[in-house]
Amino acid sequence: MMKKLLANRVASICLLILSAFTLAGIFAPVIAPHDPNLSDFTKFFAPISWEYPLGADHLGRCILSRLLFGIRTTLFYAFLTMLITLSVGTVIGIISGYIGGKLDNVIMRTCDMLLAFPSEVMVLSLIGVLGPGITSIIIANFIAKLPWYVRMIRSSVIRFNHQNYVLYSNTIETRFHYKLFRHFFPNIASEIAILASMDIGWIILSISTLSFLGLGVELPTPEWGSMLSEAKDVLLTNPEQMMYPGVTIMIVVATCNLLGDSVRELFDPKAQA
Amino acid sequence: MLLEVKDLNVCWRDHKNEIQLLKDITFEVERNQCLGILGESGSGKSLTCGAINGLLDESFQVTGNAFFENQDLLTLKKEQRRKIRGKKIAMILQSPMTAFNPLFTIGGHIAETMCMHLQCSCKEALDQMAQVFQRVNLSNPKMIYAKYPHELSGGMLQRIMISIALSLQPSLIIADEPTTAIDYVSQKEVISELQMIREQSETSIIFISHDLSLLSHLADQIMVLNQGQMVEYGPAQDVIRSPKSEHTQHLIQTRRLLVQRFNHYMTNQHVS
Amino acid sequence: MLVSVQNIRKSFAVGDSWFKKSRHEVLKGVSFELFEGECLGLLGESGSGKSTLGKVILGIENPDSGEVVFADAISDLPSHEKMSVVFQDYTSSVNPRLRVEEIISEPLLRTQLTHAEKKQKVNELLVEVGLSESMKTRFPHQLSGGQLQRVCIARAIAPSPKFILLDEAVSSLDVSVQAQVLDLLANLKQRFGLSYLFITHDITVAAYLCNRILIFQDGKVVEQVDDLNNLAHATNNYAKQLLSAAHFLERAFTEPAA
Repeated sequence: MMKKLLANRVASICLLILSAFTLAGIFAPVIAPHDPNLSDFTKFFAPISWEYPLGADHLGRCILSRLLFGIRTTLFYAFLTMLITLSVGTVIGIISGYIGGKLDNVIMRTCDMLLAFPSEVMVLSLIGVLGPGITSIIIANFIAKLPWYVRMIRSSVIRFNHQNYVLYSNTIETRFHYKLFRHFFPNIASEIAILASMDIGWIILSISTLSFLGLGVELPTPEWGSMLSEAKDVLLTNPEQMMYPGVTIMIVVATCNLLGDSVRELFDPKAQA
Repeated sequence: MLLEVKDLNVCWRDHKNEIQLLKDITFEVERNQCLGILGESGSGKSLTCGAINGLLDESFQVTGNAFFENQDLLTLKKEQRRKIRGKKIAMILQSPMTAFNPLFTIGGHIAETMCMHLQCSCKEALDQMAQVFQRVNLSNPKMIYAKYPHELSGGMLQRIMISIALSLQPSLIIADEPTTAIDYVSQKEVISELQMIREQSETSIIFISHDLSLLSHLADQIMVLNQGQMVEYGPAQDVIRSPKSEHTQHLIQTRRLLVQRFNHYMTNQHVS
Repeated sequence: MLVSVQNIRKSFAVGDSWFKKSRHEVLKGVSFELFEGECLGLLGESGSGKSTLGKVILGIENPDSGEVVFADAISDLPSHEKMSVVFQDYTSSVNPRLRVEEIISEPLLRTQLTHAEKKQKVNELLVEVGLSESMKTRFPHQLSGGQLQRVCIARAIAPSPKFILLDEAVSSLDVSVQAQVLDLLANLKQRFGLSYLFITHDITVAAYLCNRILIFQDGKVVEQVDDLNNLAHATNNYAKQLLSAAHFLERAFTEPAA
């Protein structure tokens, strides 16, 4: 799977960019030139210089440092949300698809109900109930995305459940964990990878949007969305302030979407033949 | 000579590989003759007909000649080819279930096909069809017209398919494994129907099958394909009785062996 | 008696809407017995319900009424030692992501064999079904249809079950390969004392391998032929039609003198 991914040029470039961002986030304290929250009152809107590679913002904080530390909030919380959604979604999806019957019906109707609302409205109203903060964002995104994963994984499980090799396993009553780890997971993995890589961009945007609206990360924690929000007040005088976080978000989200597209292409069963 | 195929070669290529699928296929079909093409899966028997009929897409490279009534089918323009394909060459495909649109009645299918090709009114078309049905022993055409495809058996659909093909009075019918998807009883009927066509009209048939028993009922000439190459070509009786190539011998032998026991059980009855 | 199928009925819901439910009866009371060491042919055309019957016998589909009773000698065995199955569609019968070795050793998971013994067993089985040991590292798509079906057969006989259901096991294979696989099946049956229930639509194949034949039509057994020498004396109308059609089709070629 990994080999195939690396053979594709678009996919490998996307992966490279994403891992570069991840590494930059992990080593932010080492590579960042300044403390992201340190304001230097002599450096309001400082222009690009060796000391401030991307200049400073309206409080005299280093923009590059804030962007680097922003990776930790935006990207890492997005990954975390993904991880939680995926694992819970997989478990519920497999239970629903494998056991079937009434339980399956209950789970599916619940999913239908959740899916009836547009994701954005859902997230906003959930945050309204839970109150602002990063935990609420994660919970809200998790609840908004979960039904998609449950449905997809359930349908794959049902599809594979009718394959002759699973019928064979059922006949000789092979243990469930063998079926799970040998028959279901490897076959579902590619579909999960597709959905996950397509969705990660959506979640990053969602976290940034909510922070932009002031519902997310508490100030002054560096976060790309809230950086945008702060920069919009000085849009007319210092428009470049908005450009840095804006472009960063764009690059990351576009990379995620491109990766999603190429992963989908790679695992398309027709392309495999 | 109705159809003369000379040195037909088919290659499949993508940006890296080139694979030769058919190599130097040469055969002839005379008027009112039946050619049987025998081969196992992957031998290129369906591909041969696809190539002649121009049904292959651009990734296939076709070279050679296929003269049909003195026109080379392989160099004809698409438009002209399509005219010939509908009117002079009729195809009968493997699975009759998918050849019919489930939303139309059989009568609707017949009217549509016939009106298009013969430029006549629907009523004329259906009347003409009723005559063909009579010829091939399909009783009660009115009842059949009113039915939807899923209400009829596979064998019945295949016989209707053949009747439609026949009603266009083509010079050549290409039947690609027409009995594979249907049961024995209907297989027998389809074979009888094709036999009747042989007796009653001037139509030539190319019958593609993996089953030598079926071919032996119909074919005058048999061509045996193996992995894209002709390994045997000659009069049916000669091919069946004294096959020259090892592959044909092997095919005939295993088939005989398989059928032997069944025939033994069945012929017991005639003795006792 | 090894397996006794008693008055099995099975229907499926069609047009499954909330307001209107109708059921289509696929199996209309099927009863028969399978004896030890025999090969029983179940002959019927597509859509006659024979594959559903197969699934009921395997226990992966529950009948509406009736039951499948196993002889006392085997009813207490764990299911992998009791029965096994070979399907028609060999490509979907194996997980495309597993190697031949893993495929064949799946039914050995529940046995007491050590890892080395299992490996040894897989090697033996591969040779048993006419493949070479070197094939165990291959993936399914690297094998031909005949080879893959042999792998399925190897997997089926691995835990030495008493009874194997062959659901159109040779129908997707080329004729020349069909004969080989049938001979292999006959050979294995002899050597391991297996019993087969052979589901097929092809009467020549059934006659080749089976000791007894049941003719199945529209969810019912319409004819039972206990001695194949009496095959021609079938009394049921459908059975007669079927036999004469088959005989008509096959005769011309096997009697070249005609």
